[in-house]
Amino acid sequence: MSFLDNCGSIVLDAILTDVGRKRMAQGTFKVSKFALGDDEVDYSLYNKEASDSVARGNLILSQSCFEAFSNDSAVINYGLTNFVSNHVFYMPEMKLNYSGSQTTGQPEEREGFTRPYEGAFYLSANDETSLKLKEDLSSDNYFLKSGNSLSNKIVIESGINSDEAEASATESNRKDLILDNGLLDSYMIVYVDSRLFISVMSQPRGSKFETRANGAFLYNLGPLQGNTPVTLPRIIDSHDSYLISAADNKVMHNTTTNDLHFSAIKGARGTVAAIGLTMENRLCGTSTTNSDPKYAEFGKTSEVLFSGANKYDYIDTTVYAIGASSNAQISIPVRIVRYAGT
Amino acid sequence: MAGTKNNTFIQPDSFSGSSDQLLNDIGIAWIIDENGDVTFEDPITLFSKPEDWLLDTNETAASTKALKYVELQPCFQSTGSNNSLIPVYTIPGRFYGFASGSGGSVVDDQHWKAYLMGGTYAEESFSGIYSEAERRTLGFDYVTPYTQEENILVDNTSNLAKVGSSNVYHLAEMSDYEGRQTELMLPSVELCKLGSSSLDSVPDVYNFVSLDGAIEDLNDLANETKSIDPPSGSSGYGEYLVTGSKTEFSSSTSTAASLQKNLCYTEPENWLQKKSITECQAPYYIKIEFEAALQGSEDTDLRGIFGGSSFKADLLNMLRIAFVDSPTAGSTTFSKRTEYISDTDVFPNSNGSANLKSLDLMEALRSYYNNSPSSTNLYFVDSEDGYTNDNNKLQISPSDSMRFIKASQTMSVISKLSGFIDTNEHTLPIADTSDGKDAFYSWLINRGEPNYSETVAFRIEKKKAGNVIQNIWMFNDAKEGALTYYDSQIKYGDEYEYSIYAYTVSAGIKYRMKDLVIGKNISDLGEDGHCLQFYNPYSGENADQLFSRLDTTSSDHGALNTIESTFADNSQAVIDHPFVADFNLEYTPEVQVYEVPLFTNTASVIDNPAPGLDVIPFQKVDNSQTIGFLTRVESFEPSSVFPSIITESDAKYQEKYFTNRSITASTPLEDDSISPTTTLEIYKTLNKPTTLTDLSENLYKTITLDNTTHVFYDQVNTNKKYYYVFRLLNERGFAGPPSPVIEAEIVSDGGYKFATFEDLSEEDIAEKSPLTPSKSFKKLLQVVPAQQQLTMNAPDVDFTAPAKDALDKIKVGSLDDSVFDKTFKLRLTSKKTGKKIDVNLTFNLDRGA
Repeated sequence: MSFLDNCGSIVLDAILTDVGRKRMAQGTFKVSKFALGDDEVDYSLYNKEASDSVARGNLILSQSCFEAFSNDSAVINYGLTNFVSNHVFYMPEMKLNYSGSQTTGQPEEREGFTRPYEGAFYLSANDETSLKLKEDLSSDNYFLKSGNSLSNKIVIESGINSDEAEASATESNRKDLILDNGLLDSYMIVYVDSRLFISVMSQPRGSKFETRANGAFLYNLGPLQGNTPVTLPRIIDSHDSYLISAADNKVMHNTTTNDLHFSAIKGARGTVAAIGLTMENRLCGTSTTNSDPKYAEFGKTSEVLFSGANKYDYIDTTVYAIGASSNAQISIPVRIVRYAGT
Repeated sequence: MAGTKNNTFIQPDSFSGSSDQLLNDIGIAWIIDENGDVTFEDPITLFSKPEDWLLDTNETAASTKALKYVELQPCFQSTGSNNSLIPVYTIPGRFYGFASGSGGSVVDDQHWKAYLMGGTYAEESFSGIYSEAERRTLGFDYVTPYTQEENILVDNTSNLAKVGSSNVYHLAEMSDYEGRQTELMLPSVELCKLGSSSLDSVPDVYNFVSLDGAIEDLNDLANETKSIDPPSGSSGYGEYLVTGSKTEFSSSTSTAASLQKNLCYTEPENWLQKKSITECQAPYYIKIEFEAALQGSEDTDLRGIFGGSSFKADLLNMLRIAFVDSPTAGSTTFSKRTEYISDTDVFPNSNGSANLKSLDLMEALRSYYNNSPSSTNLYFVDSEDGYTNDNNKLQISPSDSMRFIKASQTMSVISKLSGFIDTNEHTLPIADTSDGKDAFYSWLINRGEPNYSETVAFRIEKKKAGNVIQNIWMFNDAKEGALTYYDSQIKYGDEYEYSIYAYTVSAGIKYRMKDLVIGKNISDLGEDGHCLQFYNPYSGENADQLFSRLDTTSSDHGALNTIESTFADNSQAVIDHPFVADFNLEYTPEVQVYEVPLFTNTASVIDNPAPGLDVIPFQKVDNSQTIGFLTRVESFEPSSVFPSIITESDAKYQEKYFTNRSITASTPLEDDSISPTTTLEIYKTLNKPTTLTDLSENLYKTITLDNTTHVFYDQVNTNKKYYYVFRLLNERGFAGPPSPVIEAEIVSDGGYKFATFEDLSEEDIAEKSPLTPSKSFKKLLQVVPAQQQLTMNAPDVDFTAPAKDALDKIKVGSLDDSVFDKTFKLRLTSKKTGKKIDVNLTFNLDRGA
């Protein structure tokens, strides 16, 4: 991968994939679809203080572009997207539901909804590590357990995260702004590092995440079930794709309770998914076994992470989730943690 | 240059070769030349005055040289009553024969009589120039609009008539509405925009529009229809429709359907020419649009009369009665010449005939005055001078106390029309024109010129399954611009035929000859002329001459009678010409209303195809042999054309859609599907299709969608290729563009399973036409015919006969296309040098034994 020298007059730089070359040779080459992206553009260079619109964008325009590359995941990770409807006024977002993810105390602390610790979701490699983490963090809610379908999960919501009245969490707004615009993420694609994880678990069919007419919150997102990776295009090398179903998110605004106590989305809500992660078995050994070399290769070993004397091996990785309909994305920082002794 | 489609309506007997032998002989007629072009021939233009021919010994226009001149005598014109509204005039006329001795062809009295009345003379047959058949000068030009298809071809936009449907938004309640109501009880955008002041004249119509009172202020509703944004079911016009869908109309309100069978607009510019934004309001509608001033700047005399007498509404009603409800209109056959005037010569000019409904206007007015039928199928949207209420009431109750209005208006029109006839140049009595004795020729020439014509009204006829369900009548208020009617009283998917008619009034003369008397030579007076005895050719008895009189004293009154005998009477005359015949010409001005069809087209509201979809195939990375397809609805692409078809119902939909939108397969679709996408169809086959229609019998799954994204899983066998095609259907069942044919296979390579997917376009799956076959070889090449070319074929051989007799009956080869006695060209190309050499190869069949 390299950059183009944009001092010339290149308007379009294109190369053909293998399939493209084959079709060109057959004389049947025809562009039927295309994708656009601007991953390499740093929009923070936009100069709002400049006198005219040309000057404001000069720095951006002078940036170099990626040269054409046949691997679609190499140059466009955050591509432009198009929508079925021409009336999209609010774009869905993906938000993580944990205590304080919106503002302090919102949503409320809820058992099983994992909270990040210092910006990362801790994933415990084994029961021994889980006990040590509970000691160090003074709570069960700060970490996930690898391959455990009954314990904590990461809860991801998709919806319109706007506090404008026109986008409030009503049934009609859900229909008008999300369903009718084809933005309901009833599927999410989760990407995890295939060197570290062997499965992504998700909530079962029939899961509930809703408020009743009296404002009561009803949720049931477990037990988690394992998923098989699929061969959908990967956005990053060495990552597996998992196609998971999402449940309807029917937490509605009501007058008796504050719906923001239940949901991380401020406006009309679409779907919700709960995921758990299963690590490679080799990474799950107890402190009595040797640390897997991957800890050293991708992370650090025998580090004191908290105020106590416990030492941990850990690897920092990122889990990505993309809404299959809205293309809304979220990056979830995950720290794989293995107790390594004292 | 703006294109026009000019039609000339010609009296059929105005053509050369018609039944009018007099016209044929004189030669003032329309002719069709060998190229099919129609032109009017007027040999009279060679002469300043035809009557001069009498003085010229050699000239005549008649091709047979038997007729020298036809003369009329304005001095003796008479009429039954000058007070008659439409006078019938009688004027004497005279045929002058062209004697053989003077350069003509008439030999004697018998010859002259045969020429006049038909018959045989000296083995020569004559059809007779004298005929008592009724003739008319009426004929007119009319500009008709281009159809949209024609307009596309000629690339201009003038005089365009369009009937097209639009499906603006989806409102589920309309299905219930349509199921319960007839068309005319469905909500009408055009009525809704009238407001209360125009609707309160007839309670039933008011109640119908107000949904039996559910809508309190119709003016608010009228304002709603001017809103720009498409309404939803919870507000504006959409809310009105939802309310209406639940309304059970009272029995009296139901009569509104009958009243709407004929909607009349006397001032359509107020309602149908305004740029009001009604298009967004109905979920779907059919729009009928045409240019009102088709003819350009027509005369407005008659419309002035109708308007000046507050008769516009009555005119529409009169036309309705005569042409539609109780048809008293007759029929007139015209020859029709159509010329396409445009920058491109796409359409050839055409000649044909047209049968137009016609109505004697004065007679129709008289009948309208005398009869006042009660009408319950008519609704005046408006009337001039504030008579809307009264006009509507009078239709239902003709004996209402306000009936004097109608009588007064009708009489006023009759009176003014009489004045129009007396002064219009096309209907003037001969005695009042400068044509004088040449008037007969002037009439013949008039047949080549368009008469007075004026379009007074238009009608949009709406038919369903061949039955007329509604007429929209519009007075032609001479305003330039398009008249646009939005018909929202339609049912989704049903086909409606709309015909637009113009009612044009043409004024001219109707005439016929009668009372023929022929002059018979009884004495040749030399230089003093010829003494003729007039007689009735039917009875043989002597008869008075008509053109001149015994007591004539002025040469202006015809040839002077110079017979000085007390026994002479008006049946004898001394005339310079040996062959003459007199007749009376009876004529009357005529004002006819013709119904001219302008345009017919069918339309139905039909949704656009469903959107396309993006299909991403994948495999579950396990041992389950499961492949999956992530399908996502795609956004509408304006450059997309009509989707490829798979099933027969697709083909029917395509045909209907193309007709409805007046588009072709290469025309980009204008809009996305209006109804929501509801269904995913999956076709699957093991055999590679060569066309998409091959898949019509391979529908594998039909999945009801609740979202725009769907995942479909399928378990398959390993090492087998499967072909999948996906497509979406909207709620109306119309399919969108199919996905590419996805060739999917799970390859089991020693137990390791992986999936391969390939997208195949329609071009990829199409059977390739055979290419020139080529073979590689090194040194030797042998070419032999295929086995089927070499088999012995002996179906006609009699094996009991000697072999030598059978030799010729044995055929070599069982294929129809034999290689023998044909030459083939083989091209040898060197792989190393690329050099080529061509070899001609002929297979010869040697029958030598």
